[in-house]
Amino acid sequence: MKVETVEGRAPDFSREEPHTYIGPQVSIAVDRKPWEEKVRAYTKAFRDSAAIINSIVTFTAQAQNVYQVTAEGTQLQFGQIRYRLELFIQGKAPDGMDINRYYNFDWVNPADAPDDKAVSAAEATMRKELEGLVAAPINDPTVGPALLTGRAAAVFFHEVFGHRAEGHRQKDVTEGQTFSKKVGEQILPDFLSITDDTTMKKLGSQDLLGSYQFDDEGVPAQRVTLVDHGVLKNFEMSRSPLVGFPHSNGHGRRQLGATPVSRQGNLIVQSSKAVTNAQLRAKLIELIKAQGKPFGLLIDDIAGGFTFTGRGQPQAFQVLPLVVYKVFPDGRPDELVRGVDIVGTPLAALTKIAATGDTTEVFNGYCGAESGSVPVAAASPAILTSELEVQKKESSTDRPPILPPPAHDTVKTRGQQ
Amino acid sequence: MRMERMAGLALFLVTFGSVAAAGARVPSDNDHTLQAMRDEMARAKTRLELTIPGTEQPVRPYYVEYRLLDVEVREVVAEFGALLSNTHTRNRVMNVEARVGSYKLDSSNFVSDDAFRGFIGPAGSVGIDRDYDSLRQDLWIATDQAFKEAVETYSRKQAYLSSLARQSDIDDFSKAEPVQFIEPLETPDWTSRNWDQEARDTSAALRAFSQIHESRVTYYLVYATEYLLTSEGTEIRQNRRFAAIEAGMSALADDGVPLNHFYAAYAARPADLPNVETVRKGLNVAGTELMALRAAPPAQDYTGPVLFEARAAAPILAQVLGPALNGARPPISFTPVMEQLLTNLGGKSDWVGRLGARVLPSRVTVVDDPGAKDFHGTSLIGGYAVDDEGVRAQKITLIENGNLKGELMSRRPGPDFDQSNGHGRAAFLNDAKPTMSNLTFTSSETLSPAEIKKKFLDTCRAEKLAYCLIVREMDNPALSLMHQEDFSALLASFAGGAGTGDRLPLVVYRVYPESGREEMIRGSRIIGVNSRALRNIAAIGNDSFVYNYMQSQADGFAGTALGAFGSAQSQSGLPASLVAPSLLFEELEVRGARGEAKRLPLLPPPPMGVTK
Repeated sequence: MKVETVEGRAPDFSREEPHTYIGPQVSIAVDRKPWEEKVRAYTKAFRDSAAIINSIVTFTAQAQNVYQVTAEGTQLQFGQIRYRLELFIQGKAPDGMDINRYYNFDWVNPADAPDDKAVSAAEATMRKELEGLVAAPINDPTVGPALLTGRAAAVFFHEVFGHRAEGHRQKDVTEGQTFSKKVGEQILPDFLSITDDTTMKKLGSQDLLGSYQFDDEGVPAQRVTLVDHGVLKNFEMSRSPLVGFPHSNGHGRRQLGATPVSRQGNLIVQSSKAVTNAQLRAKLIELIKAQGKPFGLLIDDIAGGFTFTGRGQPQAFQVLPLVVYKVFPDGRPDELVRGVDIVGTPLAALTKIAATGDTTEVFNGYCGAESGSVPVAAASPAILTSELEVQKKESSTDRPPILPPPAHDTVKTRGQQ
Repeated sequence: MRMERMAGLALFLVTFGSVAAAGARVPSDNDHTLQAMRDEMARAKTRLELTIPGTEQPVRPYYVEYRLLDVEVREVVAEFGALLSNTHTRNRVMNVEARVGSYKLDSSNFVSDDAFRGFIGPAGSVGIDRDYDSLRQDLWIATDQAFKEAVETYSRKQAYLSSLARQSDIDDFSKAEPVQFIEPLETPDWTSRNWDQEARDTSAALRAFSQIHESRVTYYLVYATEYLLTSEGTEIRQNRRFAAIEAGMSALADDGVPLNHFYAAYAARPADLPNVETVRKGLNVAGTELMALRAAPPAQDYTGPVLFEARAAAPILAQVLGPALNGARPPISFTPVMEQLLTNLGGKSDWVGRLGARVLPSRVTVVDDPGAKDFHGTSLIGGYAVDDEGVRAQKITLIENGNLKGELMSRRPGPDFDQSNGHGRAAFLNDAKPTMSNLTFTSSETLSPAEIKKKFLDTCRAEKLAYCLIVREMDNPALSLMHQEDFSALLASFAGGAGTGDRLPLVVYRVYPESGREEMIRGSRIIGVNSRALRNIAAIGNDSFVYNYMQSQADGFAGTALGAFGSAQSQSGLPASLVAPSLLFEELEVRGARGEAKRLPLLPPPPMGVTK
């Protein structure tokens, strides 16, 4: 059988060293009651807002023990513990557009659980953003400079760069193979480097969800330099080799039941052209003025395939800005807008990055793709791109509820007690 | 299926029998469910309206219904003596229905391919604290969605009806007396039995059969509280409960054809489930039969008399009578595909519209009684006081002396009856559909087991056949097949014939009339056991078998012959009981072996001790 692939001469399966590692089994002992009380209290706080139609707070504790034995001699046993708190609220703009806000905390050590103060702060931000978005005007199509905050940039890199750097995509004729023939070429500005480091457990004080000891094909976790000073060097590799990349670098991952393919772990963007976030904002305003634009965009949150696993189908590669402000060159306050959709291939925006911030921010999530849902992290400083084209997002057509929320109804209905 | 005989069981419903006395008392517990429903209903009744552009009169719902199910489930699954899982969950789910139009013509009974795109939807999970505020918030949105959905469907339905030459003169929805029935909240009694250990111990019985490739023994214990509140004034809070042990097992015959068997026992409450020894015995019988099936010759095509022993006759009747006695009108559908589908699956009744006509042998009487608790001391599990549409359960004589006298009715009227008789049943908040509860099939003219066997063999001889077939047990693939893909594959090959009477026997014997020798065969399929065939039953036994089973209310199953393929674990099963005698058919067609051969495993099974 002849299979037509770009990398047609690469073998089907790579040879790897067998490994033996028997780690301790892990288990969790969670006291349910306090957490039940906490999630009750966290959702109750959202009742104060008439704009919040629905709220869901989820606490998850998971202990996973992995066992792997292969005919090549690999024998592995290791465990992982993860805790997660997710906050989700829904609202509706007067024209029927659905507005969601989401925030998540992830931790490994029970002592690192967020305290009530941290959760309340996140809730206050979510509520303020949701109320603002419900009232915000729809953004008109524009082209101009844009600043992405660290978390938004992290999601952006995960979706538009990280997925394209997954090794198996270079083999598959149905894929875009964006990077197949670009190894050794400049694909990003030379001040940017990107690694995928699954050995890294923490960045600063934050746990990274995409770390592990061995991947799902028994290959040890590694630090892989994908982009070095703007030049494409490597791919995230599973045991499905490419010509020039005969070995796995420990990125063969899957959800139980799926076949492993190359997936991201901890995608970390580093910059050698970092300025303070205040300076970055000043540069944005300079660019707006230089391009003669009435405003630029500040993108504070982006929804991607791994930002929220609770709803709908995960969409790898897709990016949808959720919290976007217009930034004016004349010093007026920023204006929240909604319905922003990025036009064309978002990859183009990466080549137009002009500068970055100096503070790396982390986004943890669960990424859905061919081999199921796997925990990942992405980390990036804020980025300033000189050109981003946006259009109006399609809005849902169902109208807002006919009656006001029961707790915020000023009319007294007969028959009610 | 082996049913455990459990004499002297407690009633299915503790408080059954005092519907009126229960009254509309305000519960003194901390349950705010009905209060939240009442208050949101008050707004829905008085203030919920939409003005459609270009029209003067605002549209309002004429009927709104709140249903909520509070369900607590313990599930323990084991295989060969080891636990696979052990879960204990409690969930509350709601479903809101709004109807616009009138009882005569409304937004219901219409299937269209354009589904409404709601944003939270009229159904979903709600808080488990029985609190007031969060439930009201959820009811508010759900009511809004349900109402908008109804407005849209109603306008689509009207547009569609205007294109039809003839309109139905059957109403869409029947009026019903409001019922108030509030039971005290019930605390689940899981008993002190160690369910984990029982699952381990019972499943270990199958270690004796090394050729069983896979098996599952599931203990499934359910306590539920159902709430119903309607704009007509009905207010209900009632407790439901059931307990099940279900097991499936698979093997390959030496020629590679897959074979399956199952075991099931149902009870009204966990305490009444059979003990470890009884279940082990049942599993041992199923395992032994499965091994015998491996060795049995494949069935050949056959035409001749078939004797269904009572245990096999009951599931046959469940498959045929369920759809035949469904008196509700079918929904109007945009798509002829839907119509075709219902016909294929046996979801269209041949009896409805023929009230008074003889449809069964002239001595046969069929009665459905949701109030019955047992049959001669054997517990029935299909009972309830008020159905899922808030209508009081009624005992109905469906067939009298072979003539069609009644039908199973929900609040969806039909050609013969326009009122519900309390048989609108729903599992897990799906649409209530006419469904049997405790159904008995009896005849005033019967034969003893010896007489019916003699008549069977006489017919066989008269036909000069080398052998004739006795069916001892029917398959329930929802239990015997353990993987959804296998079940789907079976349905793909089988479901098309379900409407015309294809049936799946499991344990079938050839009986050689001259020697009386019996020989098990495997893999047959019986053709043409439909409602017409029942009219010509040649003989009815004086025995009876209480078949406790789960009616599937899943879409595409409910109301069709496939409805009898239910399981407790699917969350779409409704407990039901059917009492049947042995039945002799003078001539049925049986097709030979089914199932596609697979390659046998290359290695023998690993060693496994009989005891763990």
